[in-house]
Amino acid sequence: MSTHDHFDPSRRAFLGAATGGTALTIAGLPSQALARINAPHDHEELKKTTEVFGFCDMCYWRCGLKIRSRDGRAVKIDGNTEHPNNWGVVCAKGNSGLMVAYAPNRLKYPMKRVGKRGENKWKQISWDEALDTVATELNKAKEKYGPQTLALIGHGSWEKPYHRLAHAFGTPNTTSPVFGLCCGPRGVSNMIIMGRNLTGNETIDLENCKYFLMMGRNITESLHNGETLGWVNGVANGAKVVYFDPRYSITAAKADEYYAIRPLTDHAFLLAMINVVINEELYDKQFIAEYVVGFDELKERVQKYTPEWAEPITEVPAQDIRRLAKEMAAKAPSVFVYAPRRMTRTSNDFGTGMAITILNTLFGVWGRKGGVFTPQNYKVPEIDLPKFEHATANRIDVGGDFNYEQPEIPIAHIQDKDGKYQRADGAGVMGRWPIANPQYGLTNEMWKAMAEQRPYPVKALMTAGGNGFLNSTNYDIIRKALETVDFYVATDVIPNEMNMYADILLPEASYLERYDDLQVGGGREGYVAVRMPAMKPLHGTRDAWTICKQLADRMDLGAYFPHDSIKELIDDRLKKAGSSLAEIEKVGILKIPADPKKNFPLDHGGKLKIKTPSGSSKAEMIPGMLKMMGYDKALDYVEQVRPNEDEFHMTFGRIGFHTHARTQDNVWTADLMRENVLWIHPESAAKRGINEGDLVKVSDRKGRSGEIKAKVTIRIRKDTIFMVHGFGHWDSRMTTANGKGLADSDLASYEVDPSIGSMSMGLSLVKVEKV
Amino acid sequence: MSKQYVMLADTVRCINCKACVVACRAEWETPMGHTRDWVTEVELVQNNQPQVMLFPGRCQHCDDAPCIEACPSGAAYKREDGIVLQDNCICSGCELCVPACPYEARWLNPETNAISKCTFCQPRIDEGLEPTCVQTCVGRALIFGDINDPESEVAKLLQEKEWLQLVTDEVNIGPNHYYYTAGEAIPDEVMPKLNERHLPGTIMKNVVNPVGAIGIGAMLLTFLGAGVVKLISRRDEVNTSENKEEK
Amino acid sequence: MNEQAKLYLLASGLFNQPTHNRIKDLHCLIDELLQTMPEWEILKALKPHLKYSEDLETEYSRLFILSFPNEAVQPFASYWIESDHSLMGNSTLEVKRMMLEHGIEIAENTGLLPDHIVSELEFIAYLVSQDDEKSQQTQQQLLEQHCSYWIPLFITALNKANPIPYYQLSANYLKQLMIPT
Repeated sequence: MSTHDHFDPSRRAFLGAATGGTALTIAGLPSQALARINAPHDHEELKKTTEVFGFCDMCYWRCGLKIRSRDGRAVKIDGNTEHPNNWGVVCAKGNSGLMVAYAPNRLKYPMKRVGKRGENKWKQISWDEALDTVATELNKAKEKYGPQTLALIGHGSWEKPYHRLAHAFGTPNTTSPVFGLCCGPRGVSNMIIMGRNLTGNETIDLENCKYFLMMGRNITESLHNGETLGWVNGVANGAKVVYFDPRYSITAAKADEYYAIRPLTDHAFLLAMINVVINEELYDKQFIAEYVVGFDELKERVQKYTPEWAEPITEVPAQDIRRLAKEMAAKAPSVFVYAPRRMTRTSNDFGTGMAITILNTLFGVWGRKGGVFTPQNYKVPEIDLPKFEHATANRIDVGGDFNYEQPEIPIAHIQDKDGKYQRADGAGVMGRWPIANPQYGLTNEMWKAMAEQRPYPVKALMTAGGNGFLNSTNYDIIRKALETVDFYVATDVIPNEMNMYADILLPEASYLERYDDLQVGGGREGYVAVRMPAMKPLHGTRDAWTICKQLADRMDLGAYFPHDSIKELIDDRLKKAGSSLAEIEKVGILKIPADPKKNFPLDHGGKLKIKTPSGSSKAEMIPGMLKMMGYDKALDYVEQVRPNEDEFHMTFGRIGFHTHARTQDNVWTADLMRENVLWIHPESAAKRGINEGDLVKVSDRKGRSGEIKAKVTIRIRKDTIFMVHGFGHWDSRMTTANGKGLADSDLASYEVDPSIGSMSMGLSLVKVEKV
Repeated sequence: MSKQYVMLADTVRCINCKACVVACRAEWETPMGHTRDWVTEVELVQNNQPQVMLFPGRCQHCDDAPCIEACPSGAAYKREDGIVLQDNCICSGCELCVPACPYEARWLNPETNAISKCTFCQPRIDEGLEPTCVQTCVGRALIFGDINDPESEVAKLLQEKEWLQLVTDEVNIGPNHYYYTAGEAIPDEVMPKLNERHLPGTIMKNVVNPVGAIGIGAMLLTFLGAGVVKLISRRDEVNTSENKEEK
Repeated sequence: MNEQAKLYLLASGLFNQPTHNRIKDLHCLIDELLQTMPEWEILKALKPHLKYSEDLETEYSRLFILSFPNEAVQPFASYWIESDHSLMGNSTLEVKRMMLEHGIEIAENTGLLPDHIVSELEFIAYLVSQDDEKSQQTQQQLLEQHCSYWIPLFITALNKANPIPYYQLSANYLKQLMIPT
């Protein structure tokens, strides 16, 4: 199938050489053709390749890969069939990873800013000059303001060495958007009620689940290979799917029942479900008796949340709520209430998250087949390092980039004995955001700390990947922060609006060109996986670990990077675990086999081990720590904003072939979708004279606005609009994505969840008019 | 018994993630603007409710493939195992087969100046590997195998469920690609269409004569006006370059 | 090294990063060429612009590293030849193979790909300086089948990007050297 005009064949220089003499073949056609019409044909043969193992960097799920190379160049990315994150399948994004490495506009050489910040005027400099400058400037800031003046924001290929460098430097201010801008509320919910981590690589027994209640979890488009495949298998195995979303997504198309719930009201629906489950005694009585405290208080608190109360708020009929509760109970414990991947939407995401955890707990899903399994972890000791003098937040790498478990760090503020180095974003800090995760921090609040220089000067910024503008929502704050800091060093593989502001820009080797520290993960099987280079780094790029080590050496922090190469570090760690780099390079992944007794203890006469952050050995329906801090009001429903007659709820989300704001410039994924469009209901469109393909202007109550083409479809509620996230780039270096579509992030709201400080992005109300 | 390869697409498992499309692009280095496989998303309205159906598509490797009939040079052929292939060494890039295909699976690759299409990843399956789209498919919606092997997954699945083919009263040429839709009818959008430029069985000697060099008797030509000019001018180009070679 | 080779070497140098030392070297080279090949008038015009400045470096970065929309002056053959504008395409490998046949590899610390304009011009300079038949053949193939396709596109893009006189003149020089009138 051809989608565009043919490009000029004469473009193909070296025609003869490139195609094995095709041009000559054409010339010789007649006789050859006649001679061969009935003769056997030559079949094309598969070209020989070599293979190395890796794990993916196109999103944060980190699938296991096998990368084929030919002539010193990676040519095809396949999945590693042994890796539990994907079992051998690779999505369109993963397949497009090659075009990250081969992008003509990727960051190639160290650059020094010569114009104003953000003006995109640069000068190529040597690595030595770049690293010397960074070390000098960071030390200068440290001398003047103390080590806590450095903020590190990571969202890159493998951020670990950057976090280590920052902690060695002495700052607690390391943060990743995963908490405050994405999964935070549900991470905390599961942790504070169950003492369990249920985010990152989720530990759901998808294949055996019999009933999915999906609260906007658009698993087919916000997709992670292993998770999505597991879910598809579960559905094929007969699971019922009930899907809630103001938009009819592909997941809605796969559901048995679909509810176009009123935006932001999932919490009301969930509270009504809890009400029915408790009052009609549909819960797992044995599980509640053995593993749960606070049930009676919960019962009392949810009495007012009847299905009849929820119906006008959610527009989900009360009788349906009752029926769904009963249906689920009949299938429990092989059921699952599925939280959305990104849960930063309403003004009480934390309450919504806790309602989901509570409902799952009432159905007794923990440690049960078809529910939530208990993961096993492959134990790979860390390397021996000196103590981190000031920062205690040592990054834990179990579960890839995500982990909300904090075995060493109870939820308490991070500070030294003088109370000096508490986090600038207030994550884990008493009086600020005590229940926010201090390991990942609140990236949104870190930007604010830099913009306002409060509570103390944050004068130096290092970013490792990520795009502060498009992954956040308050451009003014981000811009002010980037203009306010004394020094900003960015490392990345690709250009974007944030690293455009850097004083020094360091080009990283892509994940196809480097080793990285090990991926240690937990699933039914525990595993450790390796990332190997499929080719040499192109241009003047270097891997993250080498960059950090070379910086550390220049700042007298070399003791934190004691190895001569990242390969030695990997080998050192693996030898401590009884293996070696040479061994893992042969197979890509080492595993502990799945063990049903450990994964599903309650189905095998075992017990569930629970330890909540407040020290309880039982799940706390009303978490003690919350009550103590006065945050338990989050359990109650908070009225959400409603649009006026002429307004819409502004929603955004993912499509299966783009990741966040980082693949719009990838020529292969861009070919699948070049710009986003505004989904609007036919009736709402007709009222405004809007037809399919018309350019429309979207404006919010804060005075922000932008233009985008309309897609008129009944796949969305009349009071809601939707656009795919990540478009609307304006960095002129992004030659493919520049100026295409509209940035949802410049229209989403930037209020914060009052309990945990994560962002509430779904509160924007917008008007739409034809341009 | 010889092999007979088929592709099954379980549309219930397809999520339109387009992994198959990009994997194919990477595997066969197809130029931008062209693709050997695709996924069609059909939006329907039933009782005022939305419905979305997804159809992964590619060459259907038909039993009665009109592209083979249309090919004047004998480059298009069917292997014993049912796979319809294109011999790049013979293909002149005349594009006569392009309108002949009712599934729009064929296109001229400007880099090789030969016709490109899905081969069921023949070079891979000859090495015992799966087609690349099947290997990468996130929902495992694509299943490939030998229908003549009763132990194969495809043979079993074809027994277990009711599979449909993309055929109409007008176009029914034995596609070897099957679709499972859980009882839903296949919408017209994805059904094959008889190309108006495609006139099966018409012998147009006078059109081909000027070129002169090809054995006309062996050819059943299948197209009208515009394409002919292209063919002739292309051959002229070829002749010119041939002359150049001789110099 | 013969004079023709020096002309290619000069071209290569003009499109490499304009560091202090490189500009100095280019100055010497131009002086030499002006003595032996005075018919290359453009070199006279170029000479006064061979002065190091930060602006020159910035301009170099803007043109050849940052690739602004509609002004991509990508100095890689692969960018202009491959349908997806990717680097390290088959065309890159073909050039790499050609280089290998002559025992030439890109030095690792340069950060250059084989089909970077600097690499290709330097390779041609090398080929021109050899007098064996194989080098002549390779040179001819490279120029006729490869450079003749993408260098004109590169020059057009460069002129469209409204460069400072140094690069205007370098573009003209490249044109006179590579594109027979």
